[in-house]
Amino acid sequence: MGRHIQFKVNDDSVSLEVEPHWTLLRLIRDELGLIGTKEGCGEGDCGACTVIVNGKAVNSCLMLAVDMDGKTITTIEGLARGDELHPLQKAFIEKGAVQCGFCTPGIILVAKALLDQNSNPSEEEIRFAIAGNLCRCTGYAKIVNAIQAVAEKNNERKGE
Amino acid sequence: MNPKSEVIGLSVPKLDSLEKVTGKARFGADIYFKRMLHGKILRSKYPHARILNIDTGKAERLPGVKGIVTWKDAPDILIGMYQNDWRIFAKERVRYLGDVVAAVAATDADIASEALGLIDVEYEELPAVFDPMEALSPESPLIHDTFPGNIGARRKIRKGDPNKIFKKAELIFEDTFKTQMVDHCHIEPHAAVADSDISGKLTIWSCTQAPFNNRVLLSRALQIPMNKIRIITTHVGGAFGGKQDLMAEPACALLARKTGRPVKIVIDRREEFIASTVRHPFIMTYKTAVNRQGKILARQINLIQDFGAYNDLGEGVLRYATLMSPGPYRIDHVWVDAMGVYTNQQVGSVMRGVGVPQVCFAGESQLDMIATEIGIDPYHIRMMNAVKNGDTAADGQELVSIGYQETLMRVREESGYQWKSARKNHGLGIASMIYTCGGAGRHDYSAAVVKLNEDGTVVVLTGTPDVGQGSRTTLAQIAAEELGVKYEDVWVDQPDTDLSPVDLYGANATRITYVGGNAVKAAAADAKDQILKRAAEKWRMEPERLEIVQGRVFEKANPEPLGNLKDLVMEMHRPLGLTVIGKGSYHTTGVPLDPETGQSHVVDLFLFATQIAEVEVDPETGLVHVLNVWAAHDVGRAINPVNVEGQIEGGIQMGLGFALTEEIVREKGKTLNPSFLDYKLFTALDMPKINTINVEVPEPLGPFGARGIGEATTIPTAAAIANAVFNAVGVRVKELPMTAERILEGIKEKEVEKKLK
Repeated sequence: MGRHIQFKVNDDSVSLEVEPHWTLLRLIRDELGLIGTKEGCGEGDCGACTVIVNGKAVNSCLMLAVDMDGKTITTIEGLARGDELHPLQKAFIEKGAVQCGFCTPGIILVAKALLDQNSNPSEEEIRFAIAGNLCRCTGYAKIVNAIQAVAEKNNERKGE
Repeated sequence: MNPKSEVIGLSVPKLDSLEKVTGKARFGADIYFKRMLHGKILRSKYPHARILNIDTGKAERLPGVKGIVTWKDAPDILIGMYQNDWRIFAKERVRYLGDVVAAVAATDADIASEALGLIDVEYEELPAVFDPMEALSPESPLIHDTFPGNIGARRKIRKGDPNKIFKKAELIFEDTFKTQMVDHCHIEPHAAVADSDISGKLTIWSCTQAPFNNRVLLSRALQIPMNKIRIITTHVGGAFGGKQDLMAEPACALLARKTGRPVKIVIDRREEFIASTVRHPFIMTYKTAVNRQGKILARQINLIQDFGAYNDLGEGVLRYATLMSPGPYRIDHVWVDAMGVYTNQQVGSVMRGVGVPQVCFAGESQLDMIATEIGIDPYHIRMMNAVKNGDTAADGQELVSIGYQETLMRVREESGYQWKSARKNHGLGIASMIYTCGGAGRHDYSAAVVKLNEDGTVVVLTGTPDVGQGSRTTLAQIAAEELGVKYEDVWVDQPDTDLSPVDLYGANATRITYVGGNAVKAAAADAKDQILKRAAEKWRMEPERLEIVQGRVFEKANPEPLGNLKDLVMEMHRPLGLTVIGKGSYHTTGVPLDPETGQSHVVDLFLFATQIAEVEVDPETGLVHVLNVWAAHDVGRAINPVNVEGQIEGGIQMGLGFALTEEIVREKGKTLNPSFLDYKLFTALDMPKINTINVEVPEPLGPFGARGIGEATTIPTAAAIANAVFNAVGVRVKELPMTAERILEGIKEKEVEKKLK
């Protein structure tokens, strides 16, 4: 028995029928074709499936699609504006924070949610925010650098 | 020292990171087709059993199920990388819980999962053995009838005569060390999609790290020629040795063929922890003779490796462990006896370091025990015994242009190393390693094609996949430098076995920069020759007088360019019809170890590194807090310094897990902690500060003097932590992982000893 829901993904309004047992991850990947959201474990331990729902970073593998009615979802595909990358995307490239790239979308979205709430996080706060996102390639050093670089730039801009 | 270069040595952004930060990069599970089916794999219910019957009737009747395959759908053939001891689908017998019994394709993954439960397999359980020492006993069940005593492989080194030395040595140390079963934990699980056309041609999209190896095995397993199998490598979400084997591909291929529809199989995380390959557990006994000054006189080493149920690449791991087990030291008398033993455990394969993280932990821990006993600084005992140019490695081959001592000196300097910390429960530990680039003791080769587009931009075809380490970027830099074009003008894609030239081992053996890089460099040089020949005709001068720099053609030593490469290349295409296609290849000269002595020229080049770890240990709980790791690696020449740093930082994270937290805990062959919740990787909060030091002693054989780096980064970390823990609290842990429980036990034992005194 499907259920009809309406929600916003990135800039698109979506209206469709979902099965009650579908996870948000399945909705995003299999139904909407937004493959930038990844499945690393399917049980909320790795953070690769992170998306932002109503401003909060969540594991989409742990949420049900039916609960998205009326919600606003941001996936990695929603960050760039045309050819203009989000500052976090730019910083991840420039700082060498991307290796295999599988955890990257999730971590960028967690970082975005963090910076949206707290424009000047400490290194500890950054590390705490991304502690639920596993990366097996980088040792996190350059990821933390990239997030710090964006925070610093944000604050410079504010100071001007 | 370094010749003038335009692209080599620059930390250019990775070629594929734009796709990755925008979510556009397609990984294994990101391939979708209309009418695509979803497959699931049924694995063995027992660690050792005979299969009496497989009844798929009920499962076939489940609505949505479109096809089920078992051994009956595959040729009756045993395959393997070293030994033919494995079947893509188990026939009469299962030997561990990961053995594949059947696979289902259905319109939905949930239906496929449900169907697995409806397959009725009748087993007769057989006695199983889970410990390699037990497996060696004559009373143990035989896992493969053709391998008596469950001995899967043996390796030896006979250099000098340690027994002669032991008879008169001043000091002899004998210690046994153990390491645990560890998973690769690439965050992207294995995944593949297969499609089969009417002629039987299979196309497989896979996040593999070794597409050509996979093609060899699939071609044999399915008994179809290589031109009927096309493997297209997707983006690979980490590999570390874990995506070298066939995992989803065989079942996907057979299901696609049976149903006539594309089939996707994504391995789930629990399945990864139960059925994917692992790092082999080792039991290592080191007997070492030294004099009172700390000079190592002889080492006799015994290695027992738990193969698990199949050989797979276990024999290769045994070779590496054997060759590297004596450590980076000048020792005239070395005997090694190594054995790979079958058990009913999860199958071991290569994992970052190929057996060397294990032997490095043992050898480097013992070296510190020796230093402590005779009262000499662990740094000095390493400097004193370090191999230098002209010394020989354990296989008797001469070492050339090595920077081992430089790594020791640099890491000591940068870390402010002191043997004995003034702070309580605080300590620094040092460990070094020897490793190699390119498949050791096996023929290893790679080929490349460098194509010029009409506008002077370049496409490089290589069979080596990028698994996140940045090899596509490195190869693009090598091609750009050699050809004389801008980095931005070069594109390197993932391999496609129908289009890319053959490459032997893929992203293995820290070989891409060295073997793949030399192939790309040769192909770029060939393309350049073709262009300069035309330029020489055009500008009427000898080709030797011409050069290409950053896309412009110059007469050497004349700062005014003669013209643009793009115009020259366009002219060659039209009207001349001279398409520029450079080709090149490279092969290593390593020869197999002599089976009796282990003496030969096994590899082309060796790698050296030293790491220092700083820890604090909580004496109440035994918990280790790692504060800093300094890592000095001799990379020959860093083609992309930021990528090298990234490799070191990630390798150390993996080494820290191996040292302290990671273990696949098993009971009777069953994984008890098949999730990231219970299998503990280091998170961003757990990580120490990592300080990387690039030592650059140019490698004469490497492209632009470069050596590989990838695997070496993780090898010495566990030993450095073990030595730091000892220096902090005086507890020597000889078994990994060094959990808080193990350390606390050691602290308590010491307290009891103190009271008794």
